Amino acid sequence: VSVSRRDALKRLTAGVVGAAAVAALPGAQSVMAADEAPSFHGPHQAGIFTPPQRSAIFAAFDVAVSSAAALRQTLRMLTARARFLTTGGEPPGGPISSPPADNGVLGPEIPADRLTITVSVGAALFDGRFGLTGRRPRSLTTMGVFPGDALEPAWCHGDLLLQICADNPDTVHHALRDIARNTRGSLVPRYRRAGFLSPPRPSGTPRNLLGFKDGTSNPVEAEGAGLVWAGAGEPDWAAGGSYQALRFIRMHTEFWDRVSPAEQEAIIGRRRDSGAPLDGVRELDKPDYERDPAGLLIPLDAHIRLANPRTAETASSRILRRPYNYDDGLVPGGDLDAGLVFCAYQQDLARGFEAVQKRLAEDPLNDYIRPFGGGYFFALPGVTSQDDWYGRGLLG
Amino acid sequence: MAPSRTALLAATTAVLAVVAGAGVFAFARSEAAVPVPTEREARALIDKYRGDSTAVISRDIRYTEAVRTIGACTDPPDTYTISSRYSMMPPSAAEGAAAVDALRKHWAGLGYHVVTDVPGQNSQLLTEDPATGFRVGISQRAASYLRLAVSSPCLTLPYTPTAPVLPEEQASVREAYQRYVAGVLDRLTADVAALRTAVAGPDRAKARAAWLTAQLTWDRVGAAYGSFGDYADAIDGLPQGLPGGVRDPHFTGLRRIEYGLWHGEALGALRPLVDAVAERVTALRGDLPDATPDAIDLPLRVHEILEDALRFHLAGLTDMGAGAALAETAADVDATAALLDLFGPLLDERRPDLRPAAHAGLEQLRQAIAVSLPKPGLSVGGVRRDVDAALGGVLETLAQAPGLLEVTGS
Repeated sequence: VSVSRRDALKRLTAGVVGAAAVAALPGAQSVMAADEAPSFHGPHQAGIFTPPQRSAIFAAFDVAVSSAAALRQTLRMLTARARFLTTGGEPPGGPISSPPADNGVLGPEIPADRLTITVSVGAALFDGRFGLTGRRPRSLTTMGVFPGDALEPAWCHGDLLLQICADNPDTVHHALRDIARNTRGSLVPRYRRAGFLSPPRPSGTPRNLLGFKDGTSNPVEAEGAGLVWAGAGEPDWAAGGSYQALRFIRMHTEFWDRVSPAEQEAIIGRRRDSGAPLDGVRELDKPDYERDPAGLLIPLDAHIRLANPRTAETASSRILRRPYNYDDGLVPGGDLDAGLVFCAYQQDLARGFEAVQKRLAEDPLNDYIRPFGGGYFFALPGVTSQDDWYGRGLLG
Repeated sequence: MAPSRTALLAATTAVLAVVAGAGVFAFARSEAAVPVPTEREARALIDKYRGDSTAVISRDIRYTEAVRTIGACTDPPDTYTISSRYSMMPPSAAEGAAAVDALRKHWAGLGYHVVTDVPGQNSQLLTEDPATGFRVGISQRAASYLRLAVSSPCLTLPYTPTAPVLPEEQASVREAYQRYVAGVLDRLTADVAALRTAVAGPDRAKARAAWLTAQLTWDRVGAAYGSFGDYADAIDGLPQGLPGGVRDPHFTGLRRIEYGLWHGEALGALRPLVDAVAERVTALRGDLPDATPDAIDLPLRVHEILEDALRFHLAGLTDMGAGAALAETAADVDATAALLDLFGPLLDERRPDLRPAAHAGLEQLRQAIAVSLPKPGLSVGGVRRDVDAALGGVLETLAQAPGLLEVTGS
């Protein structure tokens, strides 16, 4: 064992440092996106276990109305728009001399385009404005600051979050614009960011903007009851919902590009070309940490090793990741503003996202990323029928 | 901020070593017409041979060392063999011997040619895959020591490998850097004493100027990347990442003093903060032999000091009111130039044009800052184009240095 390895261990225990989130894209199985349209009605919302579509917008809103009745009305409207948009069809006509009902971005007939609109609520909604103080999901809090964060208030929190995903960017834009218009005066946009899922390059798990296939396997739908859907101890209305962690993570791509591939691979724990773990050959090979207890092939603080140590004790902290790349303008200094919109669903934020986040406190990847926003939300239970609406159990 | 970068590098990465003479193996390779792989293909094949070999031996045999080398081949000239060797520890001599036997059978079954097979206590088995010309071997050097080695046939590289730096050469750079830091800290001690006097008086402008002097001196240490660990955090830690932000009780040090000086806090109230900085500077000065970054980290600092300027100063994260981002970046240029010269001869031997190019880029950045910075401490606004251009440009040059300064060996 080299001297420097001992130093690494020494430093690991010395502990200073910043934390960050997982920079990972969904596992390979999700790439083979099912073609069938996600169903709008059901016990759970679409857009959680739905195989990730290629385009997304994450948009937070603040509620500007002040009564529970008006909020109810707003959520009914939101439900009606989401039901129509995700189903598709011809928008209603009107006099040619009046403002049109539809913005026309998708042409005269709205395609469904695998659109999903997933509605979540933030802790702020339970602050007393709507008489909901006693109805807050058990562990829904306002996201705190993690070491390494540089959170910008304009990019944090919010009363409502919409995760809008579809196979094309014009579809998600159209949906956001339609919803914003139809809730105008009631919902005020707070922040929004578009994201995209890269196609396989050349195969397997999509790459993030660090150039790595960085996804390990997500929980599958059959594991939802134990890992993703709200469990015991939650208010009755919350059954079928899920806790959502959202993080806007800027990547210092210029800096990353000035680091040797050997070092990049050691930071991630995978080969850049193939995505194979550094002790393996193929992308889907399972890292064998027992054969490499000193971290000689896959360093002890490699991102994949910290994020998922693959032990019995860490199995319950697995989370359903549904992140998107973003690429949007410049940061001061002229560098590209690019990174990851990290989104993950789980049964419990402390057991899921926060547990992973704690393990990543010593992740060398933290030097190359800067979380600047996000929040904790609770994805509402699904809309079960034509008569149902988002949050009926909460407000009805 | 994580003090992590090289820990990894040292751990897994490949160590580059030009093996003089006949390369790793003295035996002539088969003359079969085998397509020669590219370096990228060869690296993937090495992984494949390793994976294929470890799959047939006991899972209780653990890695204890991994070293990758590039060796020069003599025939044909200007070709190289890429090889990796993995030291492994079997739980017993019997399990080690069983692994050797299992691999002998496995490789024979795959049709590999035996190059050498010395049985017994110090067994050595070397085979060659006729399909690729790769050689894979296993040897048992002691009861609990196995060595798996894989090497490529001689191939051409799209670059000329450079000779590795010797550990003692790196160590002497560290000593020189430590002396440099000691000198800067001596100045900082005086600067902090002056700041203490200034906050004891009534003149805020004077206190602000004294703060800037101290801050710029600290920047000249080149404490990028969590160098100096807790000391650096105490001396100029940032509020981001703290739950209470600028009001967090753990936000202390020069940045906290800056915040107070530019946010109307009483000068006298800052005095305990100045005293604490003075105490930490003294402690760091006394602890330099231990606190100075490891020798293996220092090559990375050649570009990381200015990477930090880009990520922190120019992104506005370090500005607690003084607007000194450009002045601080200029101080980072000084630290970078100093470190670059500590590596001077080692760099010049390997790539004579790099250091002059880096100094020219640093000078261009200094000039751009001087133009954008009418006087120290002035706002970041104004013409930033030339600063951004010069900083980005010199960073690309500086990033070439670490790869030339790696050490060999395990």
